[in-house]
Amino acid sequence: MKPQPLETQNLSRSCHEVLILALLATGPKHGYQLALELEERSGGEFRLTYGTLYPILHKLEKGGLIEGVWDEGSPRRKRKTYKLTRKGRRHLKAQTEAWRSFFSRFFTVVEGGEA
Amino acid sequence: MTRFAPLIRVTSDRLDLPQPIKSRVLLEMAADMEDLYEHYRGQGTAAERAEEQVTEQFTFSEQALRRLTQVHASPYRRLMDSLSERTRALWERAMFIILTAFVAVLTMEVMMTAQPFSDASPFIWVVAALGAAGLVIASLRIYALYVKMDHDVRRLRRGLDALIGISVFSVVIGHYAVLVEMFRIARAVIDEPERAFVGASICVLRTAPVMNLALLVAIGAAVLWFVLSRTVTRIEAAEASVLLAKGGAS
Repeated sequence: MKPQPLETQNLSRSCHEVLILALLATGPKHGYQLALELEERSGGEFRLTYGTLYPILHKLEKGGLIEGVWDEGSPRRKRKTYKLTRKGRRHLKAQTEAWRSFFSRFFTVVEGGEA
Repeated sequence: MTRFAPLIRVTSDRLDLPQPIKSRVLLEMAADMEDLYEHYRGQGTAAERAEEQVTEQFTFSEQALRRLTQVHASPYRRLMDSLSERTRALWERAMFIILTAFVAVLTMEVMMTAQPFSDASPFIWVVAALGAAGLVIASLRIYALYVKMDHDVRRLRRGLDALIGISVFSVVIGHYAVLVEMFRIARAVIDEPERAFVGASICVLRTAPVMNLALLVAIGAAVLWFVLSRTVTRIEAAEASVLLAKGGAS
């Protein structure tokens, strides 16, 4: 399947969304865990502020790519866990291919090769 | 109460979201704040420093809060947000003027043409004006609460007391009108006793529409006040519940 081209006008937003989906692909997580894990796994390269994280999470949830579940059983407080949906997995796979293709063409131009 | 209640309160004041979305978002943030705090404490950070770090990370810029608002905005809200502040204010003012003019014209047309009202005591105009005012106030509240979804607690109860006042006042006016008309006609009948039966009929024709309309306005305003108050109370309770949510103090 030919990868869909990336929307280059919103590369940053697209990148953050894919990173969050990729983290959720390994298992359900709370919001704060996503921010911490992203920073840890990228060696500090990617740092999401909570002001950026929450709009992305809520947007992905509204789009049906992730599902937020409230933990009613906690004796201390209600916590929200996010998990990847089937639609989210398909979207992650498509976006991963799109990014791979994007960087392949990017380096082709930068390194002076032919497409 | 969570240790971060003051920060949540400040965020709540700055976050322009309708209920119950707002309290869900704030509850999520509160839980993440507590978990992040415990994460830092688990790493050996001192309590005060951990609290400082969490506060720093959860103090949002205006841009961040605006992005969060946009994600949850209704289509109408998104349309309004796309307009400039001035255009939005002009649009709302125009809607208010059109609504008021429509209600006023409709009320006057009914009053002047419908048979029961054309024979009624002049007090019916006062009751009709109260009813029209109540309708405009209720419409504005309904627009703010359900269409624009402006759930700022500082503005929630605006106009609600006026609805109760209209309800009470219309009944008072109705009773006063009945009293005045009956007294006036009774005086006339004393002077001309042979016109007693006609006088009684005139009294009914002049007072019944006033009392009926007064009761209609009173009941309508009271019902609207009740429905809107319930919505406002629910919103206020949702706001308060976030601040009173138990935290995991350790």
